[in-house]
Amino acid sequence: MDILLLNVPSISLVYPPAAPSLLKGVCEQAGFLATVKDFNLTLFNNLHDADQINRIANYFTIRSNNITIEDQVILDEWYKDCIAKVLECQPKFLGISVFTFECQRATEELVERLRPVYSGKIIVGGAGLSTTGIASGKNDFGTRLKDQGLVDFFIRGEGENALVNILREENNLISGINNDNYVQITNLDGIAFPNYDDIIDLPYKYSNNIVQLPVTTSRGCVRACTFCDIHAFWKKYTYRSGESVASEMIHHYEKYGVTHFFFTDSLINGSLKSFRDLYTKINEYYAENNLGDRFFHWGGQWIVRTPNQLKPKDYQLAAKAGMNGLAMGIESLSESVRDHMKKGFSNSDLDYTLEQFRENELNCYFLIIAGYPTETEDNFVESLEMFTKYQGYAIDGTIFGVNLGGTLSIDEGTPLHQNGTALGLEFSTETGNENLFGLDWINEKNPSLTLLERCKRRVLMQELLMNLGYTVWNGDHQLTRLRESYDKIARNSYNRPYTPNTQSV
Amino acid sequence: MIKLHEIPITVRIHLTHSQYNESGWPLCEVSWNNNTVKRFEANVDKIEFTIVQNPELDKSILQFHHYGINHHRDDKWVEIQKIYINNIDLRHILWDGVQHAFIPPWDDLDPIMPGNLYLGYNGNITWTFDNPILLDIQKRLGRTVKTIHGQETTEEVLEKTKKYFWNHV
Repeated sequence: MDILLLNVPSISLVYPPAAPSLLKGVCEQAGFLATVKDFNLTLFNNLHDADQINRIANYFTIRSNNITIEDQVILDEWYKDCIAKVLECQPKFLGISVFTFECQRATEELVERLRPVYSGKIIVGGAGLSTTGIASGKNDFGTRLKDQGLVDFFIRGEGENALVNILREENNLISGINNDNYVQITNLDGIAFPNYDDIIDLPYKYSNNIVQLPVTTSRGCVRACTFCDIHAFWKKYTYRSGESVASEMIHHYEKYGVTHFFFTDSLINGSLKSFRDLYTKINEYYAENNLGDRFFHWGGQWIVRTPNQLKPKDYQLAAKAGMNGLAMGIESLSESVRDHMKKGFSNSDLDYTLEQFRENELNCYFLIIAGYPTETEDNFVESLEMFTKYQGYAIDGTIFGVNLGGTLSIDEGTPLHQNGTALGLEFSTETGNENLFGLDWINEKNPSLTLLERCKRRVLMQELLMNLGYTVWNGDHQLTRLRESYDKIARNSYNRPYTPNTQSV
Repeated sequence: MIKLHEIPITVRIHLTHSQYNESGWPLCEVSWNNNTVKRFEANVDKIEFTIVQNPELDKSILQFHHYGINHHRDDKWVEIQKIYINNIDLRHILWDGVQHAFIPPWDDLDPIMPGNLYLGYNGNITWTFDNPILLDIQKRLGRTVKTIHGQETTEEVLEKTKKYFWNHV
């Protein structure tokens, strides 16, 4: 075997992770033999106690968390099993997908144990190479593992070309391999379809117990929102043609019988031409094969468009093609706050979108930020009033969920971070932290919006939404983390660098 | 904080009806919790009104009355087609309405007719909702999605967090 591609904790189990299977397809297209194993699933699928699952997930995801002796025994056994599986495969290369910073601990602990017994080359890649947001210039994690001799290669940016280059053992100093100078791929239609053969039968925690596969239609975003770092990482918005995306879905249907898809990228409807080609090709496939309307189910992230950009016919045909379950980065229901964010849509655009969704029986999910730096008390109340106005959409299921996140965290690479001084943002003088990063900030132009006030607004908003009948997602985890983060900030330990505690496992 | 019972409830009823004849248009009245909110001749295809919920009541009762027929000579009718509450289509809840008709003595029919939206006699259709009404509609529509495993949101954690930020901090 040329390469074994791995996932490690902690990531969601709701559907198969995209990257390793995509890279398997890419490697095979280049003539290499690749296998995918999901060690994240192996661990969590064998745990049955909810508290234990939470403890172990928190151990991987919250920097300062330690672990109980009982959990330590389980992790030790799991690491032994992982190593045995790697050695059994004897791959020339081992690739680990560091999906987010929440995969860093497992990655590091695994390579520390593997390095002495495995003679192949170890590669890490993924957004998790940076702890401070994907657009950060600081590739702290990948660099540290390389410097410590725990890995041979880190790959920054997209992995498709770089990984094949490493496998070919050609010039490994090209863009993104052991350096941060990655160059974005512009022709996404030339990339192979993912190959899910190795994991399609694994017991992921699919909603409704229906197999759902991820599909990536684009990279980057057409917008440049002030709180987001996507556009800094993906300099250019690149996208696949609608025909290519539809062909991939049809390929997975014909190969695996899968009819449910989730789009992993920032927006389904970034390119309107590609979006229209996508639903057209799918509807043509239904007609050619005598399949009913909405035979496929597909959804992902959606940006609010004006009535001039997307007509009622677009919504009708996309619904017919099976689009549903659209996550929208609404962020604030105050128009003036949203204008500052550069979200690029008005309240009337949102009204139109929601009405089109309702008319066509499409459902959607709101992503919201409580406590944006310019949010005044009046803006906050306006948001609450708008949620009250939109209550009917939650009652009839058009809005199937709201995710309130934590309060605003400022990441490197975002315009808020880059223009922080001009905007009046600074680290909290109360805690003495020196970096404008994360939750610990104040806005001197909106001084009453303290961290405590932001936390309270976050909580009040959730309370209102629950009373109004909205389904708030992931609230327990987010509120628990919010309390923990507030506590750390109060103890001035929030921004303390991560120090691996390898003795605890 | 916005209180649920303070949210205005706008009801829109879509209907079809018999045409004008020598005895006129069908006569209709709509009541909410036994208070008349609309009285009209059925020469329109929809009516709309707004009420404020009474927080002291456990139930909200919507009644649509058809009256003024002389069964010896009149042939008038109305039929309810759709009801929207705050623009929410009540869908199948519509059929939960129960008609109580005032049947003339020569017709041998049960006057209680669940799920009959055609009012050919004098009578009324009653829809009953638990309060707060919108949450009852949500429950009965059954179109909401539950959070998936690991993504839950509970009152317990919310209350704990409120105590933390309002009392402890």
